[in-house]
Amino acid sequence: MTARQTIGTIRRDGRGDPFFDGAAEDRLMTRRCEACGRWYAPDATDCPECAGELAWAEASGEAALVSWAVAHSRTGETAPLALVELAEGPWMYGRLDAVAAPREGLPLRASFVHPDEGESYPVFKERRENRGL
Amino acid sequence: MTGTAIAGLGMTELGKVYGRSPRRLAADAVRSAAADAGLAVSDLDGLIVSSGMSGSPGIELAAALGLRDLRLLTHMSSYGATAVAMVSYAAATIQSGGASAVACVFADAPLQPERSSGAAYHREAAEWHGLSGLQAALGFRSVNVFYALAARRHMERYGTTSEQLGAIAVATRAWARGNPRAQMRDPMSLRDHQESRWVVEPLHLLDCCLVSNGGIAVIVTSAERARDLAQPPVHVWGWGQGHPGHRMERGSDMGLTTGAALSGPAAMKMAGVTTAEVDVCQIYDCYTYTVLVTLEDYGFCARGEGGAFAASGALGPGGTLPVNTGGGQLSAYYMWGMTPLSEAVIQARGQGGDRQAPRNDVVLVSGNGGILDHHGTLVVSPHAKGRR
Repeated sequence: MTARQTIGTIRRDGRGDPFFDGAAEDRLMTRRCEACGRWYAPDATDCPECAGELAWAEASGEAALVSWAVAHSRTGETAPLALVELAEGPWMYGRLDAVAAPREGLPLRASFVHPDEGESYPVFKERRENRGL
Repeated sequence: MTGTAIAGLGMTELGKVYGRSPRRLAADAVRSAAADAGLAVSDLDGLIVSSGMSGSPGIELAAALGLRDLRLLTHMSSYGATAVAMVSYAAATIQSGGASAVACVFADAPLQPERSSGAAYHREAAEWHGLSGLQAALGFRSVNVFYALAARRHMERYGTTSEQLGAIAVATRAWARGNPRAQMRDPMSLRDHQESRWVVEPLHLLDCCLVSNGGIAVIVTSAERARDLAQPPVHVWGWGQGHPGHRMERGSDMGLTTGAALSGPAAMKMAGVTTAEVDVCQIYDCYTYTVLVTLEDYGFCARGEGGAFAASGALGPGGTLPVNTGGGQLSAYYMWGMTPLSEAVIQARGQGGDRQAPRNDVVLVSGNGGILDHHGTLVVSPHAKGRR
């Protein structure tokens, strides 16, 4: 098992603060058009559909895997990375946590990391459907 | 007006060339291209400048070259698609009477002594700021990651394999062995490719292009004028651009198709040729995967069959469709869109030496920019358009 690449300390910069406020409370905040209701990734700036203003909105946190990659550092650490499709439609880039067998369409759920230092952030874990007993 | 032609090609030393700024490299490339064409620098009445990673030579390049009374001077950027865009803009301007001899130049110097090639295109920090910082913190620290995600999508959807990508790296290296300017000329086997370290899975080191310092320029004139100059004219037959505007959302084809699907057919239509008539391809190869998806988009093979096409040996020396005959950006030199364009000029002139393709009547050139966001295609030939 190779070591995971260190994520480091994340600081807010005044522009995406509601995203980090949400992450601190285990909520995935992303962007949504106030005019037409269309959903966008957290770093989106415009609604190309209707030119409306984007506001922060809470997404369900459910997602599906679109594609994935494993970055390798020169010192041998790895970072499991992904492009995911939020249940609301937009794609976002993220880090996978404990996904053993990635495949297109794999159900995922945002899970939140709360480091001692710096901001909280989401990672994506496999979502196992609760089929009851 | 009987069309336009590339009349001059100038290339500085390429690779680990230190101590010269992008502007100096660009000036050297333009002087060399003018001399190659048999023109004085003062004969130029147009200059189009393209930037790389380390700052633009800027339109101030005109002053550095002592150019006066230019009728066209501008900076263009669609990243790796710029070289093709510059030539098409120069050709259109000349055809409409706006200029008569236009230099198009790219120069870059991202490499620094004692630093790795990867470091030139990589982010590293102890603390990260905001949403873009978060993305880098999570591991999205170089463009390699985004191409890896695109390649993986193609692999999942169509069964494309790493060995098939490796076939492109191997074919390209085989061509590079015939190019004295190529930075990497040692033989490469599929096993070498498979055993090269991971950069970002599914991309091995040998799936990724080099990083180079240097500058390349071409001179575009009317075909009529090019006939009287020093080099065999390379006639410009057609061009096209494609900017698919993939939305990053449900239903997107990102990774499965690119702007080449738009620009390729447009350029071939303007040139009056089909894929069956293309003799040689110079395909933008920032990664092996980029070549594969571009060949599919152009229609040289069916969608999803690029892997099998590459693995058949079609692309290498002796193959049915010679691709990247100079060694491309994977093995020769990384000058963005100027890498495929410069080799297209060499091949169309018949100056490829050991690596000259058996037929060169129709040469197709591609440029690709961003994360498969921008594409340009150019069709050139040693023959005047319509007189093949």
